[in-house]
Amino acid sequence: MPEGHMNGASPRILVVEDDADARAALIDILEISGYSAVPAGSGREALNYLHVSSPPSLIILDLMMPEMDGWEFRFHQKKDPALADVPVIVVTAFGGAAIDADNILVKPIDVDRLLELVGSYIPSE
Amino acid sequence: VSDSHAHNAQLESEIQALEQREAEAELHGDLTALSALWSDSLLANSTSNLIAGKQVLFDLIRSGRLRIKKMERRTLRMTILDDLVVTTGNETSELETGGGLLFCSYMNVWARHGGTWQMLARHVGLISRAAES
Repeated sequence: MPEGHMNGASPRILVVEDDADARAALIDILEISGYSAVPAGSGREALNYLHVSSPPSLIILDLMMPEMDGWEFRFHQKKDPALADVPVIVVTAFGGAAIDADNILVKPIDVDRLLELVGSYIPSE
Repeated sequence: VSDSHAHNAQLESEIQALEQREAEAELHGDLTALSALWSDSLLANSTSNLIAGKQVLFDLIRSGRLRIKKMERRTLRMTILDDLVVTTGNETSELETGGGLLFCSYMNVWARHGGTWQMLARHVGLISRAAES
């Protein structure tokens, strides 16, 4: 099960985004909203992190990334029983992107909508 | 010079001053000034591809996560339509947190409510970035 408030820890969100500015901005927004956020610059980096860490409460996932894109990351995530249930919000410039995710937000991302969605999975402190 | 032309020239000058005052307030993280200059309904679309309102931007400035060390704005064109003014031009800016010098285009929308002009919308797009020194 993804970790959350039940264990007393700050809800942790994995932000997978290759654009450094966008990644940093997302982390800032999440942290000032009471969440703990962990950055990853590609699907590969995200998987490497997940293999040595407990599952986060939520994953925010870009699609177009070098090394390993969002589709391939989802393929590996869903195959892993320890990670398969972690909810995923996809953020993408492509409105019609075909991907199996809990939610899809089209860029530019409306911060209010993002926080509303994040809050529906994990209430902030 | 017709009255309306003179009126527009005066308004252009007023908005030009507001553009500079707003850039200065952003540079210094001056929340008091920004509170007066930004509409409560402000919508800003940034180079980070995030659409944020006044409250989120204030939270970012207050937390020290949005700190600007350089900000120069050059207003190139302005369109006036009664109580709305659209400005566009370019900006050179740099964040305290790094990322190098940003050369951006921008578009701002100013709206007059009860005789007071406030920024209602802002869109900044990246033209190019200079490497960090």
